Amino acid sequence: MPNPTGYYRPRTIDEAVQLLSQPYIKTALLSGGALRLATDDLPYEALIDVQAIEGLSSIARTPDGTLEIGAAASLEAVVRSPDVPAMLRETLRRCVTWNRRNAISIAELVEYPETLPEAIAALLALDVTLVFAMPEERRLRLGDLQGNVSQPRLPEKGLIVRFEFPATNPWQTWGQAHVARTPADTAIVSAAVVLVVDNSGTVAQARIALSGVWDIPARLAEGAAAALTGRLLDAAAIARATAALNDEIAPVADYRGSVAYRRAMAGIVTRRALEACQARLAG
Amino acid sequence: MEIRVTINGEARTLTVHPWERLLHVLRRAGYKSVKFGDELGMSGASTVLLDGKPVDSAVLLAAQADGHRITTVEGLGTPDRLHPLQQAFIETGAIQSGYNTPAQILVAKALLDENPNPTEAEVREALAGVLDRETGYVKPVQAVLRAAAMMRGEPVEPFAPLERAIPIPAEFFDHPHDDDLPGEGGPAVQTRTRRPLVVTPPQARPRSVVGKAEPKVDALKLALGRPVFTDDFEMRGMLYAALLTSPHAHARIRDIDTSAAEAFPGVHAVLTYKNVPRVKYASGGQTYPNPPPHDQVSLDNKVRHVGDRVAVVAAETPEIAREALKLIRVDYEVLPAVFDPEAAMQPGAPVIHDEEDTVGIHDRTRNIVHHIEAAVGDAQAQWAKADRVFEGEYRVHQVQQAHIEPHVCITYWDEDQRLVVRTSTQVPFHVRRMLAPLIGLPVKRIRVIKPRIGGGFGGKQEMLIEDLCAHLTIATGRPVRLEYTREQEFTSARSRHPQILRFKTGVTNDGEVVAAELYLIGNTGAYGTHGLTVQMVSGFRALTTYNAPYSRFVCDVVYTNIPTPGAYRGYGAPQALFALEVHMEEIAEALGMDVVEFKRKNWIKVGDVMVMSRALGEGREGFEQVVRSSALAEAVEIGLRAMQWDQKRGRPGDGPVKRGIGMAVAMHGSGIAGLDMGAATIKINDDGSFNLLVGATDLGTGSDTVLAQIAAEVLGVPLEDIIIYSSDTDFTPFDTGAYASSTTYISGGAVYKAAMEVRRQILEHAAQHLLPGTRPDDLDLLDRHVIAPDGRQVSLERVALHSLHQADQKQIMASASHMSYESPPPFAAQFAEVLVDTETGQVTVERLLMVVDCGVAINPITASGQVEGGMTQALGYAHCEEMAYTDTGRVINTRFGDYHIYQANEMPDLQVIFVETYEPTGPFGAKAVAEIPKDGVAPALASAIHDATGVWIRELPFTPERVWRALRAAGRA
Repeated sequence: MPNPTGYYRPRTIDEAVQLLSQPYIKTALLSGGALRLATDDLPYEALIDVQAIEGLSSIARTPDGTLEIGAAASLEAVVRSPDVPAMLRETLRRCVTWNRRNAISIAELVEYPETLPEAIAALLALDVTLVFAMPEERRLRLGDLQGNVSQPRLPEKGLIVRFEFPATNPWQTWGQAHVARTPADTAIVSAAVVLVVDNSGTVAQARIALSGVWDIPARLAEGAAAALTGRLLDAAAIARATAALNDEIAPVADYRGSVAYRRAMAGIVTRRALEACQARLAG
Repeated sequence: MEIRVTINGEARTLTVHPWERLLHVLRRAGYKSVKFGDELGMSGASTVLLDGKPVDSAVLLAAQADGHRITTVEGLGTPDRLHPLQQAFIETGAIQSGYNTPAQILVAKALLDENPNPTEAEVREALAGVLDRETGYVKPVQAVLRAAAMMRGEPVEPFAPLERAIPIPAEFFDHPHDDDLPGEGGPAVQTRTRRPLVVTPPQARPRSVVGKAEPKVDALKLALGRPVFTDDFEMRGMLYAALLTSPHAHARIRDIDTSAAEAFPGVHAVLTYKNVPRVKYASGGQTYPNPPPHDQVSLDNKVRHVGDRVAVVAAETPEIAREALKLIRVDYEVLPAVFDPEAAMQPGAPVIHDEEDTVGIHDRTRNIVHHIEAAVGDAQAQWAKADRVFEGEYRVHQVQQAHIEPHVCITYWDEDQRLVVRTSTQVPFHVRRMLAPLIGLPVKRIRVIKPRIGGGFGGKQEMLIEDLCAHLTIATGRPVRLEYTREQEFTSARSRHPQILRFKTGVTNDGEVVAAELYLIGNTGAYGTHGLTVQMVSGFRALTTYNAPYSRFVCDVVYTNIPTPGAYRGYGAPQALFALEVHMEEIAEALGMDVVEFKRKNWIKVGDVMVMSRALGEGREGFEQVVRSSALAEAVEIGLRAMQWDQKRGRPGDGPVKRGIGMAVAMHGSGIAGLDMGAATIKINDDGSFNLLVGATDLGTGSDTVLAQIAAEVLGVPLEDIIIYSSDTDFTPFDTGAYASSTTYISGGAVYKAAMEVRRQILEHAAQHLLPGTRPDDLDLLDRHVIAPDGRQVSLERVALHSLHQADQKQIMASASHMSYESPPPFAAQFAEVLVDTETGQVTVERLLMVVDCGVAINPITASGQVEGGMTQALGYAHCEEMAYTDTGRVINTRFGDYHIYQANEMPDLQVIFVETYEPTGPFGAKAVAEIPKDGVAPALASAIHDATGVWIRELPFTPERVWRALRAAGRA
């Protein structure tokens, strides 16, 4: 018989975590499903559908300004929420169609990072933290998960309950750029940048994430960010950042782009994303 | 487990398995409007509304839907009370095959439910999740905007093309047309949805039905989501087949152990080379005798590409069949493989067809299936005239038809022990003839039924799965269904031939092309099907547009271990015309001539003999042909004005993103001269309506409608009085099938002849019995009546009743066949406008305009739909589609998305203008229109990229990296 042979729809997080912990059954969470179910050969004997768990799809800000997105929130709900950073909304809207946004949850996005790498880059740049219930609550910054080349898997027996986005800093700006075959195609290489720039124009904090230039879908370019931090956001600083980037990327060729092409594009899209930050600051 | 759902307002309790997708449960429950397009939900064909939101039911467990509301198209409207979206889709011609129409209507409904006044950009974003391989999205977008207006209570005008007579006022193209549909672009959408423009000669004769924007005759049932496709049919006791394919590009099968699979509960048959007769055949659906070599058998002990057939299983359920495949143990002796055709021709290359029972291979040891040489004219004299000689090499790649309905077939024994084959095919009569020897049945014991087809584009001009399905029915005695997975569509179906084209052209200093040679290497993959004929067509198309007095074609058609290419809309012309048009523009540039002037000076004109027409037929010698009609000059002129060519050409602008505008001309054919044949039968009914039976196969193109319009025009009745049926080998007359742009011209010719004969019989009966004192020649048919010169008239109903029941009784009916030794070329001017990012190589296509001479457009709306959809496929070919391989010959991008098809929200502005001519050999002056839209986009884009950057790119597709490398090589990045 094909998998899954079991289907559960728990009503509480505790119940879900308990079901996940069944020792002899290979289980997985199901929220959305368009990525999880994109194969006839599921490796899971049972699926735990979290749609009935209250609050798991909500999108709200806490009093301290942290944005919390429930793990089961659909990408369409994310795109529609004005609270969600524009960079993430624009990325999802560009590269995921409406019917798929309705059927993919934000949790699936990080469970299948190779599907939408530029969205992962946006999440990394936005410094997202994943909150798990295992059953005790555990926090993991996405950067810590994705930034490691060995790419540790998400905890299999833990339930992602929400994504936390830090409160927006009034000095924060952002930019993104990509290259793709067509306007709505998945990016070959993308860059997502979030900067905090003080009133002197100096970069106080930089998060630069790229997709398409490592053997994992996306990760933070810490060298490039370091080259920028503490400097005025000008052409020279941007050039330093892209030069630093060249030392830390390790592209892998595929049919859409060779190593040389991806390497060349990394600098260009990063420069453009940083120039978009400049333009926002100027505007 | 049980789920409780509300489907279209009705509470239902359904028993489902935990693993079952909602798609399959809904279809089992009878909601057949929900279609399978792919397993990943990327095509959007399986879209339903779940609590009002569009989701793809292929990637949703049925269990997830428990407790929810589901809407399918079956719940929207009825024939008497259509939903405005259904009505608008019919009226605007937004429905071609109709396979994904229900999904488009549902996403549009979800959009309009929350936003009654959407912008065009919003409509496009909504439709983006439903891939459409047919319409270019123009008319679906128009349909949604129209429905929105209707639902807001606003008046809408009848949907019709714009019409202008030549000469067109100079200012016509100077500003946007006020009568274009309102549209609004967005940041990601560069388009504006337009209606087609039909430019007619001033003396064009008005018609009643021909030339009118009649809604498609099959549109209603398609808008309603009725079960009209192959897989919408259920039989008691049906078994489900699954196909095991090769993981190796080249291997001998030492042994297959099927015992475990056979013992698996629910399995009824496992077929391999061991238990299926070895009968050689060629799978291309072509006219008898099929071109050689006959290098295939149903199941072989050797595999020649990843995805080649190994075994097939029939079981109680699809899941059991798939499980059984895993139990088949195959002992492969893996052989060296070769994928590059030039390497395959080298001594010592792996010999792909080393079997002794394949005959007709030109040079087996060098994998050369065919070597073709054809030349016309005096080489020495013509080369001597040439002041300059230009050479150029061009390379084109492999792309897939990607019709959203996969290959699917159902076979069963009828009550008379005849085998019925219900299949999604373009060639039912060829399938019947070709199938018979493979399964050991005479033709008379086989009936092939072609239901509605969910797109074909040449991919279904092939007997691809019918033999396997039939073998399984014969083995089990049970009905069997076999459907390709989406991956198998890429690995086990057909595609477009990759080619290397080397031109050598002699030109005088004043720009006259005097000699042309083309050496072509065609990669036919693992089998030779269509290999000969596609490359011959490439040669003919490449050497005919400019028709050099000395023309020579040399070609090697080469086996490799890639999945087999075959027929794909355009059939060799898109490859040839990309190379030819770029080559010609390069020559013009080198000569310092204006490209338009250079082409105009040289292109073939009315009265010219096509020099290669006799030497290069299709698979054999052809017939001498003369161009009898052409509006190419007018098409180019109108296109130049519409694009504001003079204002835009040569002005790339500043900054890293350059703008360019380009053009190409195209010339195609209308059927295969001396080969294609169609037949039609027409009979009158008691009420004066007519049954029209045709063997032609409408694969979504609207050919049923066009054929019915031809009959209606001749018989003086409205279109609704023609009941067309196509096609069933038991009931309809023969037709070679839907390919080679033949249906309107060839099958339409048959319909015209049959209708003329029926008309003659009607007039004769009326004159003899009902309109005393008149002669048949004095009478006319108009508005359902026979009209006498003195004003008397008698209805067709009266004629029918009288002839059937009252006097001189007979069935007024006629059958007619039609073939032609001519294949009159439609012509077109293709224009493109692009942005080229010189830092990244990314090309953004902003606008495509095709100005087409297809003779008289029998139905300008369906014809423009053909052009819009064809241009969109051609855009994918030129820009982003490409079958990519691993080093071991496995196709990497077998998923939609990875294999990127243009979506509604990223389309360029598409515009179609028809410039009518009257083709004297065509029905009502018609020529073909189905394939020519595939021919000009790639070279027009190359021309535009060159205009923007000064760089020529001689290989497709124009991916960012390819363009970037070309720019770097030229120092322009």
